Amino acid sequence: MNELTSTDIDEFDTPLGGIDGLSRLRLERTYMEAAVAEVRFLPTNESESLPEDIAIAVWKGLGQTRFPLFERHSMSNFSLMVTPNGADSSVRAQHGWILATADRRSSITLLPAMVVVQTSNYERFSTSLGQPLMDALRLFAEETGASMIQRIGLRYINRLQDPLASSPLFWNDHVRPAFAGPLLGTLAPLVEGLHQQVQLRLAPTAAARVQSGVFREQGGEERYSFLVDLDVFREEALPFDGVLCANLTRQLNRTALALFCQMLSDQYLAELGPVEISEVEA
Amino acid sequence: MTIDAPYRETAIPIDQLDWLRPLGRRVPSTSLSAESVPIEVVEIIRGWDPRSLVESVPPVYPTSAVDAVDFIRDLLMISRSAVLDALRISEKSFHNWARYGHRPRPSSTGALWPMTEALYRLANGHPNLGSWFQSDQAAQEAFHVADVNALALAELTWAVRTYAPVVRVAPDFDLNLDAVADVPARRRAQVTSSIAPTATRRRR
Repeated sequence: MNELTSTDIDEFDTPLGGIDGLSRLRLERTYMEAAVAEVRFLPTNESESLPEDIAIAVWKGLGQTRFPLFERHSMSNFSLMVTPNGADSSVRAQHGWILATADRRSSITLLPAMVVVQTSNYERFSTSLGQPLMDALRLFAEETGASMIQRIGLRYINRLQDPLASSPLFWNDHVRPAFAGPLLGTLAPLVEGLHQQVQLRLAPTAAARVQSGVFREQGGEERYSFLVDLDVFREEALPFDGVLCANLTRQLNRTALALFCQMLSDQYLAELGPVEISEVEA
Repeated sequence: MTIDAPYRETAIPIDQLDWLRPLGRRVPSTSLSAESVPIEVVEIIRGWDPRSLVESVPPVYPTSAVDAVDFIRDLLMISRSAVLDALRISEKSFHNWARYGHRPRPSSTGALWPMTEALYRLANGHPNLGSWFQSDQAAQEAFHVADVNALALAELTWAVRTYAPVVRVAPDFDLNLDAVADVPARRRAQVTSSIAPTATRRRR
């Protein structure tokens, strides 16, 4: 049996890449600035616009009272191609629709071959991303006839703030050495900002891009925060199947949390208030 | 002399393409919309990798009368016939422009271009012109009589109501901050000027 088609919950609860991690965990004292779940389909036609009637059908299915805002949305995709004759870049616009809650903190974007759920009101994976994405995908596939998935991605933006962080050096005790970089070296007292990007291959078709760093907060008070931009994704052509898609997305979520835990010291992780959660809650 | 190069040159172009392919492949990002994310976080991420952020596409100013009608239709989320009715453009004229490529006579375009100009400028400053228009009675009435000024005024009214001016509270560095909480708000000094008080002024 193909491991990807199994619906065994335990299997998809294991982080990819053999990363050690606390996979069933919620951190009480971190602030998630944004959480995104995205599924890209193989385009069913060459159109760069999603017809309004399709978007309205999905909107009605999801609940117009739940997402009272329904708006046009355009998105530009930047592509870069390097050839022996040089680099060629192009910007291509896609036109679709965005459904949003009244406070605009949660939204679902519908594009010709893409569904994106984004929230800045993250509570837990299943309620904030998982279920809204699955509901939207089912309706989108029914209305558009999209049948092949190309990419599934999860992205989390986490800002770690601490009132005691009056210097970048504050973070060298709280971030593991692999992600602290120059904060641990002889140049540490001189560091004013830090940005590190790591690309990880987690499986033949799964990868992660981790961007992290220290930056100075705006305002008069001298305070430095640690920002983590975690993008975990699978690029693989798969026939659309709701259960499989839910399992793969859940697996990416477990992997993202495991990666996040790998970045912080055990002591600081304990300070962030880890709470074990049940399978139902997750 | 032989240089021990890390790669070998080849006369077969396809090999060269294969070698270059990893260089041309950029790791794609999961789409992150800047909307609803705090601006300071957006600026950091944009500084790290601007292409990992989804930027909204600004409206493009239409160059033909047909495009202008559709431009207004899309911005305000109304039907094409509603645009033609409001701007006093006959269906026949529009049909001739669109189907036969006839050049519009100035007398047949009604209020098309003044309205296009106004909406283009409003759309560039408004977070969501279409939704605002759909919910604003005054704006709809102004549009239906092609009153550009009244439409702009309705948007200005909305902006003033939405982005109320911030009343600045004069800072007093000698004041015990704990004591401030006990002082009734109406007794605190308030200034409306954007010029911060200087140290000289404070000593007086």
